[in-house]
Amino acid sequence: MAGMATEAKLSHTAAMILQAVDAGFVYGFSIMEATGLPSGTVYPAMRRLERDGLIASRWEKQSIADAEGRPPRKYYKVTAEGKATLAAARKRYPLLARLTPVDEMERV
Amino acid sequence: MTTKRPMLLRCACRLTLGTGSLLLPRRERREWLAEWKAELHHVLGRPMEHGACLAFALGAWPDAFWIRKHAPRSTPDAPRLLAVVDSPLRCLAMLGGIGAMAAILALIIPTMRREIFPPAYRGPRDVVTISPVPALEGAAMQVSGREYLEWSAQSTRVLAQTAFYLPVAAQVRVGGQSEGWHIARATDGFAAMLGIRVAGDMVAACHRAGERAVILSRREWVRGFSGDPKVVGRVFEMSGHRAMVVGVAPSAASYLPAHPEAWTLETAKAMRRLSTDRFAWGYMLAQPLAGSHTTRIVFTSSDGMRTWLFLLPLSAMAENDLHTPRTDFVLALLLTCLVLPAILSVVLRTRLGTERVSFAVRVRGWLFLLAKGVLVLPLLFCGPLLLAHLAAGGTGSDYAVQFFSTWGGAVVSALWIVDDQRRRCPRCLRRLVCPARVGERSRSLLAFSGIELACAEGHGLMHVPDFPTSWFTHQRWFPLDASWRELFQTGN
Repeated sequence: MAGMATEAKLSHTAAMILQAVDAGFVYGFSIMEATGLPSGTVYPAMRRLERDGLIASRWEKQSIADAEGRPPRKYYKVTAEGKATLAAARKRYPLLARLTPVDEMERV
Repeated sequence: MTTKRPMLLRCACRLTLGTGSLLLPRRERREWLAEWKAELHHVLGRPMEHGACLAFALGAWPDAFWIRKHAPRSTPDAPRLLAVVDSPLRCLAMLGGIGAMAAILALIIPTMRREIFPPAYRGPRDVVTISPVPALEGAAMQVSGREYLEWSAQSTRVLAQTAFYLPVAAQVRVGGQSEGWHIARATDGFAAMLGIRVAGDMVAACHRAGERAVILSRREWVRGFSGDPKVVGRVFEMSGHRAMVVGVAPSAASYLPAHPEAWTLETAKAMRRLSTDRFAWGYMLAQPLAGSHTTRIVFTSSDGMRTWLFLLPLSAMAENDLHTPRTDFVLALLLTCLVLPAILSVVLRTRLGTERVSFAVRVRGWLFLLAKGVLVLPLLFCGPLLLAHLAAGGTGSDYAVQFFSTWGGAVVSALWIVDDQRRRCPRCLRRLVCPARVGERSRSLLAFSGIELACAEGHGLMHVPDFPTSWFTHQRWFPLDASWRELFQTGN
């Protein structure tokens, strides 16, 4: 029931962001670049998706960040519920498929 | 690949994130900030325009607002600016601390210290104002130029010397800036009477050159001339004429009626011509003969009319000067007391309701209310005084600013004090917690509709109606017995 309610409320912007995360754009700035949306739109939308259980976040290992001399980032991935919702959203918004996958997931 | 960014841009971006993080509940702040800082690190390293980097950082604000908006209300560590006043003792300590800081700040600024504790009058003791009224009545003390000439000519047995000044408005240009001054055209005896030292030939030289010889008030000397010790001889423009500073009046001159910003010393001929003008009304000063203790003299005109004239010492004016911070403060508080009942009934709508508590507990509540009122007084006095000091440019106090800010501050403080009291448990005086909406407004005739608050110690529940009804006029306190205490403690 919760999934159905969430699915019904998914806007085009939220669907784009969900598709971007599923396509391998796994942190905020890369999602901005992939979707062309500003930070003030992307991050609140990601909070909402995470709250609704469609995406999940986890912090990068400190050792990896230290090796590259940068602060650790927060990565996002689509949950099983998110994948189901995204499948429904793709039927409603066919152009979502144009967001192509990248290999960033491999680095996580 | 790294891109060098200006330090200013980096600071602006970090400041944007830092200020945005303050919107968040404390427990989420650290993680949120870490994520945004990590993202910003990557953004700053990309070949992007500076404006785009800043726009990215500004996006943190909508994100913070979203989190704040959707944060659960019952989060125990949600940011509460007034959490410190939960405990009654901490509330009193906070008010006392703020008041003490304001008082210390006011006392370490010399000009403000002089305003709060004005020095004793140190001007000439024998200078009096000749007035047809027996009290310090401002404009009612004015005499006409003709009267001045007649009275000064016929009072030589009582008065050693007399002077007259006529308040007028003038447009002054000092240092390239033009402004309006209240000045006074004075007879040449004015300077000597107030003990102002003027070089003997300076005034005459000014008159010969067609310039105005000006004596500055102490306040204008500090404000307009930055207290320049070499101000004598400075030339500026006054109403289209050249004017030269020939002296600075002592601080006692500030008590003279009309409070001019400067006096121009006129020639005897010019003043005589001015004095015959029927519209010329000014103030007459005099110096009684040594040993004379006369407080009033009678003048008989040529047609036999007797007029009583009163001698009002300048020192008495200083002592009765109504425009002191303390009198303005008291007046503002009195005005607040007058309007407060109406404001409280309109703004807070419902009154305090403590009928179901014992007399001793009720007395303790009133004492706490009184203590808050007393402790807020130093802040109410020193805060507006600081504002007035800033408004006057550091040369004294703007009394209007002080009066109205004191009044406004007193009203706001009183509202806060009463509202804070209503939101406290009558037993332990701690702030009530867990506000919960009960009932519906559309059904207020059938059941209670309003907010229910609980004491964290389990002393009871407070019901605050949305609006007064015939059967629920004001908030009610429902005490709970000790059996509820354990339940509340686990919930807390």
